Amino acid sequence: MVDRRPFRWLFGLTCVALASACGSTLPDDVRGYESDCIRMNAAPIPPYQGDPHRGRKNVYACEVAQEQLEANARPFPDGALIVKESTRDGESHVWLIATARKQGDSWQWDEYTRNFADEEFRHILSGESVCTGCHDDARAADWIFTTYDAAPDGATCSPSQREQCGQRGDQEVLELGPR
Amino acid sequence: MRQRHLFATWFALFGLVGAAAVPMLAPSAARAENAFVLDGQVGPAFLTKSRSRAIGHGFKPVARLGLRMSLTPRLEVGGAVSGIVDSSEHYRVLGGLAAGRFALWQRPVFSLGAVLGLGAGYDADILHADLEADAAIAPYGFLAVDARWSIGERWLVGLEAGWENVSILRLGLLWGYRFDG
Repeated sequence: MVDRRPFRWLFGLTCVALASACGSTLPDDVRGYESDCIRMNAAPIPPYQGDPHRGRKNVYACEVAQEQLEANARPFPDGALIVKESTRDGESHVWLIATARKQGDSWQWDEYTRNFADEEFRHILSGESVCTGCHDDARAADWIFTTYDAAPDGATCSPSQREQCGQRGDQEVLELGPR
Repeated sequence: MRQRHLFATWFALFGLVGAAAVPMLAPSAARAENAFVLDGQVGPAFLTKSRSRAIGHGFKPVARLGLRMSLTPRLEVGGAVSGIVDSSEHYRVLGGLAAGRFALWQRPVFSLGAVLGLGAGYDADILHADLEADAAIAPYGFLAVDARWSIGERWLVGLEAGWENVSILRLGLLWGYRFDG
């Protein structure tokens, strides 16, 4: 009589091994956000102690009218996509992308990370409460901390004027503090 | 410089293990009737140096193939090739190690053993906290505990949990085949 217990373990381990290949990559509508969307912050947002996104960050708004961003009018429209990228100090490649997707009156939160510049981002398995637990502090601003930050000369941060915007200081949310 | 010192330490340890094994080889080989164990192990590994929190980056499949000679009923000594199964160069953990297994507890169809391996291999980026390799070759080592069952006269199956290269935690299924040399 063959002991079947080892085969049960084999099945379990095979499942775990297969799972290690899982984790969806960046959605198509997120790829190319640097050129397709509007950067909200004028200069990179610096890291701070306890920073959940660990690094220098830029925040982009997609599917939101430029006029609405400039007016910092909230709430965001249905279908809005906010993309936050983070680059660790001393490195040149983005290691984390966090997205907030407006669906009706609520947001869907996701995060994607990678180790190396030539590697695909992969979705991380964490509950949305990890995001909302912090973003709840920005509930009054439709859950998004970052406000649109126009360049000092009044120019906007549209993709075509990105260089002008990049000369600005390092502030994010005027009333709520950096996140 | 630190890497060179580390390599020298591993090299010294490797030499000590080898030197300790040599006196046992001749008399024990005859006593053990030249029995060999060819075994393999596959399973998931947790890469402790991964910064990415994605499962696909923090966990990778690993495999090891080993051939050991039974010196005594409890001690097997030989070599192994071990590595991460991934196409990316950043995760190319692949090395050759001198390995030994000592049976801590033995029953007719079951054995609980401790496994030690020391060697060298490709210095993959994922082995480092800053995700950048220092050199082409790095010292390799692993420490593991396995539980294996005998199936019939020659086959072995079991589980192994190990710590490899100070940065990889692995859990795997192992199988083996015992044969006479």
